Amino acid sequence: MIFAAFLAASCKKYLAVNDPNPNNPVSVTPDLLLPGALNKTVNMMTATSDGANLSFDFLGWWMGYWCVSGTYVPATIDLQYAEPNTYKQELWANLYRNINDYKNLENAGVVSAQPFYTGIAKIMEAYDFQTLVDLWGNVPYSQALRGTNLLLPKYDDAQTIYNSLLKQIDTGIVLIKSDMVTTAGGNDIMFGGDHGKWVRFANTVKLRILIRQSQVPGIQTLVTAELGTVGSDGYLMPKEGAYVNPGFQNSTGKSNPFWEQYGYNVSLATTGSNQYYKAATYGITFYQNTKDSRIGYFYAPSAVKSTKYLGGVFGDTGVPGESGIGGNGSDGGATIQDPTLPTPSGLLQGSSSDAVLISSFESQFLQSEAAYRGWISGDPQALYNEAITESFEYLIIKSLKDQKLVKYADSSANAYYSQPINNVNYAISTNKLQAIITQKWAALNGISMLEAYDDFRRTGFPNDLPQSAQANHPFPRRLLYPQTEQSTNAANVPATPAKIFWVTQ
Amino acid sequence: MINYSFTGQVEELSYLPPQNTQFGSYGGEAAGSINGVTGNAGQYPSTDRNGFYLYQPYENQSFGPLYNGKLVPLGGPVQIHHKDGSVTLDTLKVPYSYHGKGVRDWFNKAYTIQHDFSFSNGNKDNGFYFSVQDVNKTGIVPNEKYERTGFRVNGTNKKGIFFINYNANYSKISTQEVGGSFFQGRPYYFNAFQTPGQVPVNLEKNIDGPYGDVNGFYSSYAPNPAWQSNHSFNRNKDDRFLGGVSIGIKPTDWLTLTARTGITYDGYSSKSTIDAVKFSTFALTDPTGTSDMASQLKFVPAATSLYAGNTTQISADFLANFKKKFNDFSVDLTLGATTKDNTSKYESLSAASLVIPNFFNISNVQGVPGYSEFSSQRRLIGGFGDLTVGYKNWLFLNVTGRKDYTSLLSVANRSYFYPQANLGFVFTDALPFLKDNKILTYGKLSGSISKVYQVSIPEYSLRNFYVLGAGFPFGSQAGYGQSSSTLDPNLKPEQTLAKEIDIELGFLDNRINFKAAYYKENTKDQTLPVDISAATGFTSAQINTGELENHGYELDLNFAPVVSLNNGFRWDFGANLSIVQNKVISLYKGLKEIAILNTLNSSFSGKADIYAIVGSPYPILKTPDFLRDKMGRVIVDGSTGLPSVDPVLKNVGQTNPKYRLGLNTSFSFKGLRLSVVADYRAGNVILNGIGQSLDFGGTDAHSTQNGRQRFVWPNSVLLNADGTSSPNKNVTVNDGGYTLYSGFLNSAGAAGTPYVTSAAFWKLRELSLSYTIPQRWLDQTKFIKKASIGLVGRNLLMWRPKSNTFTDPEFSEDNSNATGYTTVNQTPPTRLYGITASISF
Repeated sequence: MIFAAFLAASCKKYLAVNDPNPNNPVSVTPDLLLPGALNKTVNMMTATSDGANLSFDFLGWWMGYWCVSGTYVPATIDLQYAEPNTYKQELWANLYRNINDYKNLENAGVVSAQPFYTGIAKIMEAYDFQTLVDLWGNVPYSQALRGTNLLLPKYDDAQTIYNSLLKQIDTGIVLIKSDMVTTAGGNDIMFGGDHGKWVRFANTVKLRILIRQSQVPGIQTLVTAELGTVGSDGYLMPKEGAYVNPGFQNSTGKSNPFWEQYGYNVSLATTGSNQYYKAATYGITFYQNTKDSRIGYFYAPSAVKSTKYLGGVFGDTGVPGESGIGGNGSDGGATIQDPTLPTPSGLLQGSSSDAVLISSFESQFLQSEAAYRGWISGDPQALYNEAITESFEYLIIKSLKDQKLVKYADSSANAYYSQPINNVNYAISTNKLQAIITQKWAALNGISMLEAYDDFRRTGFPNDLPQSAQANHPFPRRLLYPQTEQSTNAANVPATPAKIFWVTQ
Repeated sequence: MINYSFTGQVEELSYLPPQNTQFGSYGGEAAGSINGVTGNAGQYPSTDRNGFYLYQPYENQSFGPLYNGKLVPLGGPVQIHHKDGSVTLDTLKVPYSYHGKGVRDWFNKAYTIQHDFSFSNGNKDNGFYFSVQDVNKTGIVPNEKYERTGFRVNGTNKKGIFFINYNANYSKISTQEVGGSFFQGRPYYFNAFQTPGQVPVNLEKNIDGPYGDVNGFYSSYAPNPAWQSNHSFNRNKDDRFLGGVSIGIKPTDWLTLTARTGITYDGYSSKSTIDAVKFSTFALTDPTGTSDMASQLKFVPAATSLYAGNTTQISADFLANFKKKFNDFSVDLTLGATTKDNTSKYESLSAASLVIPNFFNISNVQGVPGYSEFSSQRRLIGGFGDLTVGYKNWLFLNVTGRKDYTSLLSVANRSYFYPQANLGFVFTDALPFLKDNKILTYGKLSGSISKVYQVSIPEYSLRNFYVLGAGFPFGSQAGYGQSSSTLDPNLKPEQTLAKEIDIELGFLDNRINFKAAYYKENTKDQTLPVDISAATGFTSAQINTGELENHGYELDLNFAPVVSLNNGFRWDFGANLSIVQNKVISLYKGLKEIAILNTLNSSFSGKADIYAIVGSPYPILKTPDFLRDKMGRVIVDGSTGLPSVDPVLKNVGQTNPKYRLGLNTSFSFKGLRLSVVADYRAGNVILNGIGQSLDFGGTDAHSTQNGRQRFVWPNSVLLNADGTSSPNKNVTVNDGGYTLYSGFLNSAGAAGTPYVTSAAFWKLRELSLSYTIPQRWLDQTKFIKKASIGLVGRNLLMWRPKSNTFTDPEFSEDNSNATGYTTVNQTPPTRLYGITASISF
């Protein structure tokens, strides 16, 4: 009897070798979950969702910013707008995985009694879910993120999800304000633990969700109710963007994700994407026609000596030598050459530069439109001019705090928007909304191309965007439901992908 | 006794997909590719006025005109350095015609030289055995090699009631494999396969020559395979030790007590190196104007990575055996206890870029090296009993029971008991009227029922864990995220209930033997990693997937001999057939189907997955097909003539063969013996990803099946406005060449069905001839006791259905759940010839 008990005890001890897991932690505190999740979000939004598949490269083509280098022949499906249902399915999967990271953060914040983290998590979940809804419409929401407890989550109505996201952001803001003690410090790789910035970011996301629905009938009631709670907290201010930097450095896999994908590798040789994605004629023409010196920051000079900027047309057989993505601003007169970097510029500011989630100028443009619509108080023109100024500053001086350059950027912006050109000068523009969206489009080139695509689907601006010369499908207003969903959740995937509820154009 | 034997073997390619012998096409899949697109330079127009592809001297996407034998340039201008120091430019010109050798010249014949020496002494109670083996192999890929040296010692000693057995086995293995290339990292076979039919391989193979070096190779975007076989290597070392001692006591003739301990150790390490690539100043100017590899890459730094690890298993058993006869009954009982401890560890370091070129030390890394560490341990305790009772040599009952405790599962699920019973009845001995029957010599009927538990999961499969985020740590900044797979803390062991009945019959003094078996197995709680909807927050789960039922027949017929003549001639023949049918009974949480997590998508542009589907055999391959009308005819577009892909995946069949038939026969005459083994497999399908890759480059015959002309898609229909369909008589595909094979069939999300074929085959598996030197000749030498010599050939012939022009279906990329898939990332199938000589002193 005693022997048996002894045996059982020693057996138990002998078998106790599989806990803990020596290779991976099974629990992590919120201060370590936050930087992991934020870095994943910003990687996804600016470059790739999985380190390999680009997220929004196609919007560079669709939105008239980029073309395919004439040295390459792109896949026919791209030129025809015949994207299959495997297209960007990694983005779908990684958005959900990223939301799952925020869910963990949300729970970890509860466990550690740090509502600051829980609040941030709720806001970031809303940010990711909005991206899902904007690309795919009805998606799993209420039954999502339950692992094996709910293997076949149903698809929820997109508008219902949108309304729920607004409530979730409100809750997030309350939680952040309730915990002024927690300062994530350096682990908050976006706002350095600044509660005020998080609240203003949350309000900006809220405003973005509402602006997206501007064409939805009867939206005014919701707008009044939701924006009423913003009060004096406000939105992301000038010189205040949602920029993420965990400590990017010139090392493989550790550089600014946009730089690493669309710019240069560690030995400063151009990447494949840098050789593949080139300037679009439409973009070049726009900046040239409006005498916009930012052209030299969005695009590099052409290899063809006779033309300063050479573009390609998406869908045409191009000519090698088009302008690349990102230039050093030589056309604008302010040549900032860091000798260690090939072209520090608006788009490619170096391996260690910040990555953009929501730029200060996107926030100003959103507010300008809200003011124009009478949703918020404020002068739409002042906000518009401020947005353009912020864009010039971002491109010219973002990584170099040089007061002389700030002055230069501000005066360049002023000279630009003061020109008597329709859709440049707010005061003389015949359609104010068109002016705001057109200038927003001009500023988001390569930075937040999804937002530009959303604005286009909502307002139809810019209204002269060229379509692929080889198009044999209509210009896509959404992405198809992923094939991975067909193979793992076939019972719930809608058979016909419907129009996204806020899309009117 | 001393024994020595020598084995020498030659291995060569047995099958390559048929080459495109009609059209000029320039090699290099996905040349310069990003997202599967290819380069296209302005200076060489790629199409003529009618949209037909013209000859391209520098890369693939030509799908060029018919071969005409005229001299054409191959590649761009290259620099020729003359002895007097002068440099001239030259462009290689080759006849625009098929040279007839396919891509065979990229491969070598592989040789194996093996020596075996052994020494044995003593008898079964006090014996000693020692052997040494040395194997040296070269590979079909140039510069690949394999070396193994092994020693083995066995011994047994008995003194009174005590005995001891020991064995020790050590082998040292080193291999050298050719690694990926400097551009896109693809394997040798892949790069070799893209070579079009007019390229003089032997000239291009010379990587020091002007046409083969990195500056002058003919393709703008596909690296020379010969570069990687000279500059990119994985070198592996493996030390394996196996040892065991058992000591025992046999106090009476019916009781034996044994204690046994054993160790299996495998220590391995690997080092990969890839040399730096420096291009000439001339090559960097992009002489073909095609943004070629040199101008894109400019310089490729050297890289190295290394890993080392080991696995160790230590086991200890105690056995008590009782063996006694009681009148007509014989009893054999074994009781035992066992413990097993498995540990493994692994560490790796990598430097993607080295500062001093070709100085392959990890400390020479540019920036921060990649690193990883893994370790694991699992333990098992078991107790078992095995009882066999025999009655009069014609009735046998065997009953076993085992209880295991594993460390891998939770306390609630970690222990399981599994019994087994087997009853055998030799009716030819039991029934008096069958005794000493000349026709039916032997007859046995047996039946068994068993339950077996198995835990086939990796360690730490119960609790979800976190992983370091991509890029982290950034300096001192850490960041974590959730793993992509979700785990189940309540995982249960897999359990299989198996029932089997067998009959064995021997006729004419056992000259004819027949065996038949029927079995049925039900496996519950099979544990597999499966794909789940990403909306769950995870993309895969490791769960108890479901219940699978397997049932099948095994039939075995042997004639030993068919014919036997007095002059010593003898002919033997045997055949065996197995038919396996399986079916998924139920799945996790009532799901109707589950996609099994696998690697099928690794290099296939479309989608293909292995599924478990309730009511269907397992594994099922699903891949997209074209949209079809109600009658199954392909719907094509009224203007392009091309079908469109159905987003819903189609069940194309099972990937495991349902039927296996094996035949063997041998003829012997005096010391001479000829034996033949052949087999047949059928009832399954295979997805030939390799075909898709070859179609991309247009280097295979499959891509020429419509003569590169516009054609009406076979058995196609056009959709009418009212939703009905009518046969398509005259809408042809807009291009039967490049656009179809390189574009449409290779685009992302492409249909998999064009590359799905039957995986059936007949194979002449082995043919061998041996000769044993007659004893009377040896007797004259006084010292040679035995001697023989043999010739062997393996994988000599293969017959496949006409539809499978792609490759040997047995060369599946992966032999786990992902069977049923081939790619160009594998090595090609080979055939082997060998000679063996053996001599004993």
